[in-house]
Amino acid sequence: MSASRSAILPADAARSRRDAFPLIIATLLAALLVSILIAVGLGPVPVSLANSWGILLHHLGLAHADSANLGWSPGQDVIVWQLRFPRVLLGGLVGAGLALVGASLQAVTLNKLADPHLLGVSSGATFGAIAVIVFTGNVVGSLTLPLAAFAGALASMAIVMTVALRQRRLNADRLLLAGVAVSFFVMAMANLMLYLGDHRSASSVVFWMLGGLGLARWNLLPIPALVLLIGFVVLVGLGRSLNALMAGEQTATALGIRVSALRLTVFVIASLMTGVMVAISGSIGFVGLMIPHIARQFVGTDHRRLLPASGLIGAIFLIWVDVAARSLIAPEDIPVGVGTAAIGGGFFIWLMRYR
Amino acid sequence: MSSLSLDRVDWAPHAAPTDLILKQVSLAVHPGEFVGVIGPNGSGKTSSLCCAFRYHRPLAGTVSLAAQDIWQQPGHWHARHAAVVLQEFPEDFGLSVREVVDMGRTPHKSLFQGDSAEDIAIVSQALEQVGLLSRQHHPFETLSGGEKQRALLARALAQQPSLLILDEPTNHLDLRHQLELLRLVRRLGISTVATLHDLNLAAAFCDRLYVLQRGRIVADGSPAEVLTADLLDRVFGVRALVDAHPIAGHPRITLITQEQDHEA
Repeated sequence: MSASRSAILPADAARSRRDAFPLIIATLLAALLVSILIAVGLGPVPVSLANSWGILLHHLGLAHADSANLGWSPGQDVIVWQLRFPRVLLGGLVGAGLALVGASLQAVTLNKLADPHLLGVSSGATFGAIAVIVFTGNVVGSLTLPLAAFAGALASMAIVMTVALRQRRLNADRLLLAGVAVSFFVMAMANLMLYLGDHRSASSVVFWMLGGLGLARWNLLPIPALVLLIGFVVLVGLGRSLNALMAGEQTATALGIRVSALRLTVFVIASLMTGVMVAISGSIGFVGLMIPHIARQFVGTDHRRLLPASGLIGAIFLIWVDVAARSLIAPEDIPVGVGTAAIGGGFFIWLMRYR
Repeated sequence: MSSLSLDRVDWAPHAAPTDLILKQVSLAVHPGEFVGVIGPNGSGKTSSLCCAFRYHRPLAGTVSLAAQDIWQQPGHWHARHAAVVLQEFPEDFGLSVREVVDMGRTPHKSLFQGDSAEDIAIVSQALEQVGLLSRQHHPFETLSGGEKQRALLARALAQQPSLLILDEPTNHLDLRHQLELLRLVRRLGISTVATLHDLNLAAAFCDRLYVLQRGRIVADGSPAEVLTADLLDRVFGVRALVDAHPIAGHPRITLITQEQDHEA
């Protein structure tokens, strides 16, 4: 079209954003791959990178080494293949999921401070987890806690939605207020339970609440992976509608968006994704709030670009914070939520002060 | 066939039809017409516009675009026919001017459908029409009030509508930009319905006017038929002289600003 061709503009931020998007995504994908490969070699038990990769290649069937000739011990094999690799992958999945959820919720609530834990899901999950830790114990095996946390998240989401919906409209402010109110109420009940229960269980509850990826095993990965994949596809598909919502509620309606239905869809998807992530890894803060803001600096506000970029940056970020969490004062495992909050908070302060 | 018609529309914010904001409102916009909706604050001007793009659902009556009842059509159908410029600015998430105008393509797209060369050309053309092509990559937030209003008009044009719905398009604009915007809309030749506060602008630019008072249409017709000293007194509660504009000949309203007591 002649009009667009004739406007030869100096390369500026917005123009380069659109054109540079494939390059940015390729760079992030490469960075994610490199992060995974390096992170599997890092941790309290030293395993050389060469051996770590050897173990991965061996298990992935890509290298046929003579079993008598392996350069690593069976113990190292177990650590890298059974523990570290799934942990790194889970970190990537959870980081990507939380960042995606944060970016989408910031759009549907038109609030830059919206994050996955704002809408009651995390407090519901915490309630479920405390019930298991304090009272029931692992009655149905090692998955008892994640299952209870997920059930709590769903129940909490249902309450928030019931409170927020009025005359079949879902208003952004009501959604936020309902989320905050339900969160406080559910957390009060959870804390009461904790207070009345066995005090020795308090430390395991606190540890769970601060978040950690230590539960990661291969059999735990398929569910978050599937949930992340479905959520990603649906949310990116809604990207254009999320963009239109930025124009405001009335204008979005005028653009043919059914605003309440869109909010409800995104809210349910976000809650399910957060529910699964929180159930497995506790409430890891700040990733969902902070990563979308960082991603916007690179790719702008168009959600068709923002969501993939947020997901990738979130994955890389959490993988590295978890490396720090398990290495800094090894063999202690610092809760990864402490790391994300400390780094995220510091980053925000720096951003506000110097940018 | 009219571009837009509201037929005996009742509307209230809550489902209970006690406090009707709109009572039996009927209005029509014919192809190529520029129709103004005037009335005092709270008379239902904006509410009647909101009925025209499915934001408000009438309790009674029908709303049709291109002779189709908009509530009998899919949810995004109306957005392919009517485009809206409201008193609502995008949230400050750092959108560029072009990203704001891009939104206008939304109703023509399905899930996962990317921007085609045609979409890009349509958006560029809309930016060109409002004179903002050279600023397309600037952040929307950095535009002046007049430029923002023009950017929102460009978004409406990117929808390729057969009807433009404008809510107070000249609000917050200085005199020159008020005239420029209304001239631009007239030049486009698209059927338009606009709420206007400035009655002299309404007289100058509109083919026909509807007057709303407490949710009812109390007068309609050409500006010369509608804008009389009697109507201004009855509906707006102001005393005014109405004569003909010395150059253009449309009604000219001169408000009498002195209090009644001081008059001879």
